[in-house]
Amino acid sequence: MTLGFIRPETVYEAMEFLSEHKDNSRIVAGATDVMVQMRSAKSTGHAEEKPLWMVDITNIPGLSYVNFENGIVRIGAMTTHRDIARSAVIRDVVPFLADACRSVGSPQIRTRGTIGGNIVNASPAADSLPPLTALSARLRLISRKGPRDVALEEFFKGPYRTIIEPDEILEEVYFEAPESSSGCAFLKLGRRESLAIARLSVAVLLDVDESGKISKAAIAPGACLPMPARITSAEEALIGEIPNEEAVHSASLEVGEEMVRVSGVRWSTEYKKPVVCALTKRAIWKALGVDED
Amino acid sequence: MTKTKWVGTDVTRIDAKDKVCGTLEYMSDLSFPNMIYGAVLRSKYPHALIKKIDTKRAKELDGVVTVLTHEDVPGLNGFGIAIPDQPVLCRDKVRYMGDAIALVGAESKEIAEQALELIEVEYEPLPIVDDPEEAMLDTSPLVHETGNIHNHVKIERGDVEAAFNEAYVVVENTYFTPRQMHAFLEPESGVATIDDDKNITIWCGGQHPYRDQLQVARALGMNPRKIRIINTPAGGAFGGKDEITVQIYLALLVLHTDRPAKIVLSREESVIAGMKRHPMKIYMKTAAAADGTILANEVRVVSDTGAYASLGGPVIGFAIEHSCGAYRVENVRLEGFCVYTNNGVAGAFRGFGANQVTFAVETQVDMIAEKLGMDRLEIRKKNGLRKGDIAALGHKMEASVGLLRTLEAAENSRLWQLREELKAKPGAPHKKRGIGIACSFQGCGLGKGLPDYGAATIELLPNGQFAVGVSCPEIGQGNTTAFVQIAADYIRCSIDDIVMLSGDTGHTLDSGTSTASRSVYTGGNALKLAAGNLHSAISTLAAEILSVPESDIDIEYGSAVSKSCPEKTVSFKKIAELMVERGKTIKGEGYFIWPVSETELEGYVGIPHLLYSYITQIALVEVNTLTGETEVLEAVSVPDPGKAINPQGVEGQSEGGVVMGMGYALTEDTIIEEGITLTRNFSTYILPTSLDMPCEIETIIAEELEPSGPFGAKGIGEAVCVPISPAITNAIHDACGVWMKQIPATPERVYTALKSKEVP
Ligand SMILES: Cc1cc2nc3c(=O)[nH]c(=O)nc-3n(C[C@H](O)[C@H](O)[C@H](O)COP(=O)(O)OP(=O)(O)OC[C@H]3O[C@@H](n4cnc5c(N)ncnc54)[C@H](O)[C@@H]3O)c2cc1C
Repeated sequence: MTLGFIRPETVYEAMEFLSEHKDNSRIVAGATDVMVQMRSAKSTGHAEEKPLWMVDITNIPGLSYVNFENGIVRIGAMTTHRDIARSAVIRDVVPFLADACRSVGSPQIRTRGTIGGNIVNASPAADSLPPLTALSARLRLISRKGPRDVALEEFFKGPYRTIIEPDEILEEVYFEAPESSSGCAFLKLGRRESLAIARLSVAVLLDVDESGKISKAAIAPGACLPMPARITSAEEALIGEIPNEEAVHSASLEVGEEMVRVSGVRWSTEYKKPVVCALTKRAIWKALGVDED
Repeated sequence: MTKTKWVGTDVTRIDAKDKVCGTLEYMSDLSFPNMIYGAVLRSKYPHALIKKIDTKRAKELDGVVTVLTHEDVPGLNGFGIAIPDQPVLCRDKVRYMGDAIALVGAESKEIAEQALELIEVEYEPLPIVDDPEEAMLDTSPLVHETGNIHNHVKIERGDVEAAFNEAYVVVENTYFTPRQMHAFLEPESGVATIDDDKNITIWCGGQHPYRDQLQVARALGMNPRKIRIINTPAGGAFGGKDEITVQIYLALLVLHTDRPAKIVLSREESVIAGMKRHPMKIYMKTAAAADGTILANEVRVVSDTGAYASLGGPVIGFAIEHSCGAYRVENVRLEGFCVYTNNGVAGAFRGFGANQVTFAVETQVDMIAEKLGMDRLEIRKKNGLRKGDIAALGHKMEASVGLLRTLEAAENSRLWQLREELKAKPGAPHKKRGIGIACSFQGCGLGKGLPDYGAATIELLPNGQFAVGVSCPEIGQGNTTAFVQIAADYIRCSIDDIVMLSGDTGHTLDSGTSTASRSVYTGGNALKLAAGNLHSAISTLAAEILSVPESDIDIEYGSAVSKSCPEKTVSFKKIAELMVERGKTIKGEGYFIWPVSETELEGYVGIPHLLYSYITQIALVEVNTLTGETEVLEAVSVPDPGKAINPQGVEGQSEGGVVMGMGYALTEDTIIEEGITLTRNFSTYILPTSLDMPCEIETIIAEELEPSGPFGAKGIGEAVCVPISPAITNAIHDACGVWMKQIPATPERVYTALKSKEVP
């Protein structure tokens, strides 16, 4: 197998190249997933899909940004986890996304790894996905054929599988900023304090109206579903409720039930089910301003 | 004891600057003109017969210089410290996924790796054995024709049955320990060259250059003198580079191509092919009297050594020797099996079998204390070994015994004194805190029946400095700095006047291994003898210069002095000048042989030991009862290293040891299923990171000087990572009432234990 390497300088150049080499090219951003996958294909002996052209998009200017205009937050696909975690806008408007990006890998990984790569790689354990799902984010994909916008929840087909076409580039992810009265939380359970892939995670976004009742709720667990999704039954258990232990408890149970419904019973279920409930409970309370940790 | 200037002080490590600045060249940083790159073809199956090896296509690949198989091994096609049962390149059978079948040398690493894919090997897969207890059955497939039980140790003393009958409490449990990985930062790697006379030089991180030399010579069928091995510096070893790693492959490549060669294993290859800590299943039944006196211990250990012996035999012996803890136990029935399987290979690893059994026995002791309502520290003080006591194997503790000193210092530590206060305020309502304590001893040296010796050289250089040579390699533990301090105080010179030579068969005499907590004691004692001989040579010349009789010469720091006429002095520098002028050399060699225990256990080698280091460690943990996660908040480590040659060095060992033992207790395990390694890199093999470390590790050095040691030193490299593991699991019990009988105590295991406690 021969590897080709190309580093386009403009989006246009990249799109041209990709449309010409649809079947034998792979986009490389921070390479923190791509390199690991190439290496593990080698060490397990069976090199699956062997990419020929590595299309490195790190030299293309203008793909790394966080904008906040007209109530919409836009994040360029090449924005690194580090920059997102440090962005004043993100920390102010959607702090749980900053928390999620800060929990990725280590300083080295956060400095190279991009949100675009995190999304397109489509790992069930990707840390940016639960908050983005809770925010009902949308993606903008571009190619020679023109741009198209898709909802994040429709982007995924399964673990590590998406609807992106081989000649498409993810340009940005965007979402409506939640009300300033809202609260959010992202909690992650890993096997250690850093460099830890999520074993379980959960993102919660809640709004409470003047009467003190929960008016909006979005709950998106990570690492326990094949692809990101909101748990509407859990959200429904909260909406209309004045925050109380019972409602929070039943919402959390819904998350556990949904996990088992979608992923089936596995050896780890006995542990994961009660723990995802516990995590969800704490995340809901944290979003409501009660932080136990 | 003699007054010292350097020993006992925090001399800066001699390699600190180069390591911190990144300028130190490790073996994999070295390159030579015209060098080829080597790659090893590993087995495709954990157990199979080899029917055919065809290297034709690989040889034809552009850029491939050589492809070698078993046919190209000129000498013995085998290596292994105890018995050479591991093939250099397999001929007819593979026994684990790391087995080597062919070796490629190519113009680049990439070409070498590509060539591996072109080598065609026909296998006939065999049924595998991956459970050591099943491997012991007659019906099991054989890993080696000699049988799957590589070593069996059985020791009985006293009347175990009677003791169990009269005991007030008996606790009986089965424990499981994981396959910990050394995880040195520098994977197995090295370079080699060959000259016109076929002299081979190999730079490869290792732990015993002279044994590497022997093993390479044996495989090449060559005179060992034609092979020079340089082991220093190693980017970490922990026992995992005690055995041959890539040395023989490097030698084969240069021998067959007449070109320099380099091999650097990838992390994945290192994980699959490299050594691990023996996983053990430990059955233990312990009896105690109502006053806490331990009356009897019955132990059965099954140890999984994987495909080859390496040091699996001595490790099971060592485990048995340490299986009753650092306690007096009069009635014992101890049995250990070291068993072959197709699960990777296990060998030497910091602690050498003590880690596993200490986890078991220190849990047993806590259980007994709980049943008796006895203080956990008191029960240890009550049973702890004192000088003159008879230990479990029936041997007398003849050398210095610092156990009580470490227990007492631990008792006075802030953590132990404030334990109730610290436990009372966990970080959240669902979190529970606990404190655990454990102690242990650690045999130093190779033990009775194994040749254990050391040698050192000191030579006065023309510029007045001293070249000091000890071959025990620097594997990161800091022994070269300790040797510089010891040498400077024996020679009586400044540490700045010492040029340290280490780990090189070309420039140092054989001082044995950097293992078994032995190098400082061995090298230090050899240096003491060498310095004595050096002083005689210096005195001869000084007497001439000062025109006094030789017997009148005294050596002071930096000079020789006349005792009768103290104004008559001559500096070492001046002596060096005159030495050159007169065409002389001034040199001292020292040869040291280890003292051994009087007790001989017939049929066994390597046990018992004479000398032990002692240690007590404490952990404060916080358990999250909702997730089962355990965080180690603080730790106290109280080692007795004998004299701490470099206290800061001891602290460094202690802190690193605590974290290594914490990984063992909580997260680390190399998962091998049906002979296939699943945890191939550091995203799935869970080493603690800097953020997982306790916020504070307090090291209190409790020196119990050893009269036979250099300035009273023993060793401390291993003990520091041993009792911390049960201290942590005992702390988990203290926090939330569950006994962890299997480590690592992962969140799932702790959580499951908590759940089963709720529903009895
Ligand atoms: C040690 C380590 C620790 C890690 N820890 C975590 C963690 O804690 N949490 C976590 O979520 N992830 C973690 N990761 C995974 C990884 O770092 C993240 O998923 C990261 O966001 C990937 O971004 P990247 O820019 O490196 O992507 P790349 O590796 O460059 O690409 C990933 C995939 O996305 C595609 N791609 C990238 N950008 C685009 C684009 N703009 N348009 C179209 N396709 C694109 C690539 O073709 C590839 O398929 C870790 C990785 C490592 C090596």
